[in-house]
Amino acid sequence: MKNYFDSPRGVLSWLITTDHKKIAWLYLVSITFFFIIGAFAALLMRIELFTAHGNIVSPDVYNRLFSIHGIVMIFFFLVPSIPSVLGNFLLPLMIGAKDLVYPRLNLMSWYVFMIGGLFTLWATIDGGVDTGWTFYTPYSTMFSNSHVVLAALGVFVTGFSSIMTGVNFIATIHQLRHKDMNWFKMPLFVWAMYATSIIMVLATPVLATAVLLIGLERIFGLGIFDPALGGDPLLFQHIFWFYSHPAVYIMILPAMGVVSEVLSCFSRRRVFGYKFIAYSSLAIALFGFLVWGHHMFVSGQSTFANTVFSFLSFLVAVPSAVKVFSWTATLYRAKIYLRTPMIYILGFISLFLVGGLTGLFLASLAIDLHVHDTYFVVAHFHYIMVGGAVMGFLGGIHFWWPKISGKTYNEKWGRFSAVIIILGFNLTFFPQFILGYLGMPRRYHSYPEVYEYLNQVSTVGLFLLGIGYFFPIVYLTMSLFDKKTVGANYWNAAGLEWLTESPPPHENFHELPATVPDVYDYERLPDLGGVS
Amino acid sequence: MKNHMGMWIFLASEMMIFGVLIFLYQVAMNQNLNEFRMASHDLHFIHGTVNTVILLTSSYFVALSDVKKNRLFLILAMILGVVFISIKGFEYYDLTQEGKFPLNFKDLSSAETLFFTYYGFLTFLHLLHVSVGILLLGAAWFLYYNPKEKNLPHNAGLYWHFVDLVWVFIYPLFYLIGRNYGK
Repeated sequence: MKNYFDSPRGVLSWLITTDHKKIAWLYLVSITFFFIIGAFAALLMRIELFTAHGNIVSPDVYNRLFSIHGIVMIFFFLVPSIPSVLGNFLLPLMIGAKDLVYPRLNLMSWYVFMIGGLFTLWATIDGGVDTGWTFYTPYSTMFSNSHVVLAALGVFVTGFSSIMTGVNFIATIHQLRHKDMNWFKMPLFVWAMYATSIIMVLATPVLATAVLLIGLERIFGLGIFDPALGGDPLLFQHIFWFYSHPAVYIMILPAMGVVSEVLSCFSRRRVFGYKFIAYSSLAIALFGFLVWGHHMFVSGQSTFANTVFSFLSFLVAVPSAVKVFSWTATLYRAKIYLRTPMIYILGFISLFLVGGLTGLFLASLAIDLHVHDTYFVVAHFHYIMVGGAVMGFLGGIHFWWPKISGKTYNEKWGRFSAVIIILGFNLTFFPQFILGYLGMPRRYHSYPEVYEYLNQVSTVGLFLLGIGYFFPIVYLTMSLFDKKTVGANYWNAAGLEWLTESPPPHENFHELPATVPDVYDYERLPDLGGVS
Repeated sequence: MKNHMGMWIFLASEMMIFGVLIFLYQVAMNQNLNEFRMASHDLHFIHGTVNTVILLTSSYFVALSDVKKNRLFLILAMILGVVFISIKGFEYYDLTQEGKFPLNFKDLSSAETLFFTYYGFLTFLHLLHVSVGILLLGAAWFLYYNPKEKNLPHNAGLYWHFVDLVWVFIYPLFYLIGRNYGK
């Protein structure tokens, strides 16, 4: 049987492919590359912070490091990670389609993404950018002597790739569903993708506008954010966070979709509260647009606005909690198999819980005044982004690896590295909560000696985390060269994507099933497959 | 392409771009209301009005081409689009001469600078969209009978209507806000 790798073959078949499965691979390789760059920046920063006195890199270089870490990790790794890799690969398979509705647009989105990435790389190699990933005015427009325009251009261009992906997904979900698949037969991963795509389409243009104005202001001296020319620097923060807060939901919602799928499979239970999880995805997408002001509690906006944003930020916790409780209820008295994907997903739930609850601390005005711009904030969003989105991404990659590649990875190494990652992650970021509460500001390159011990714990933890990330890259790559292939349904899972071969043929299904199976009906299936 | 849904979603995305700019402009206007009204008098009211009529008429032609299934009307719409761009060019030239266009400001107050910055940026961005719209209409005309691209005329038309709609918002916000506040 020919699968999508063989039809057709050759380098060119990858570069001009319109097959969503191959495009997912293109994305996977490129975001792994960007992840390594961002990880290196993080590593250098942590080594610098190992001692209280900056003695590895200069303060200026340190600024460039955290900026590039933020820009690359957010715009070039986290935002495209799950939607562009797993979403691209699985969405048509899950809804029983041959491909996405606009295959050429899909390929274009990868090229646009790479062009944006090249601009950012160029900026990085040529000295970097020192504004932080947030590009705050007036520093970025008037004072910074670094490649702000290049980096902004990279972000601007990549934004369009995000929009294209979003347009494609929404149209695909609306039009190409199997005729038997109504909205409430869709897998929850698809629901999560739908909510994510809505955010991508509606929020990304606002970021594009914001960074475009930054660029024009630097080059041509337009005065929209310049107080001397009648502008208002706060406006930039408003429009920037109008995108960048929903952006964190772009990162976390797909991971939540992955969690629903994996959890249901490895506890052999119907996911609890299907409709609630589906609607809570949409609710999170909606609330995500209403809370951008909580990044600006100390920026000088009115107390009334602060209060409203604080209240709305608390509201986001409701749909998130609905999801977490539904997952907990799914696990309740189930037969849980602790395989690699499941370890990642349980890690996701626990770390997301910590991240989410500290988010509530930060949404409270009084506490935020104390911990704003300290390591508490850094720890909080790393718990959400790394402990949430990256965990979900790795869990999803491991879960669907048999489907994506037709090969199986080494389970022992998988479990080992999953545990190492969870341990290393907590060791890295938990001390930062304490550091932040004690008052260590973020983005500082040297600090009082009283914080030294906790910083050293954190740095050691990062090395552990780095080792943990290194293993999956190695054993997943090695598994591609295995001779042994797996069957269609490696885990005995219930989704539609498991009904076709692994790896799927070029047109996804040789013949579509006449009716769509109930995607969470684990009662009718045999026990979990795969190696034990 | 299956149908027009992708275009509609993309237009929602475009709407956010213009929406956020108009929002920024509104904030600036609220802070400097009287100065903006005064500055609005320096724009060429007649040009703006004629341009509005031109763009609405061209939109009518695009719709007509869709109804009558005749690609000749697309040519008319494109010609009107080019006329729109030319009038805008004259307008920009005059403002530049007066030192009221971005990159060439001369002795303006900060509020006036802001007004003309927004004017320049928003209308120029809109002008870019008009150009893209003309190219799309051209492509639609060119591929009108190509069975593979049978959705293109309709999509180009949708885009053109969107560009037109944005102008309908820009026109009052810049040209009309000072009308009843005489000099």
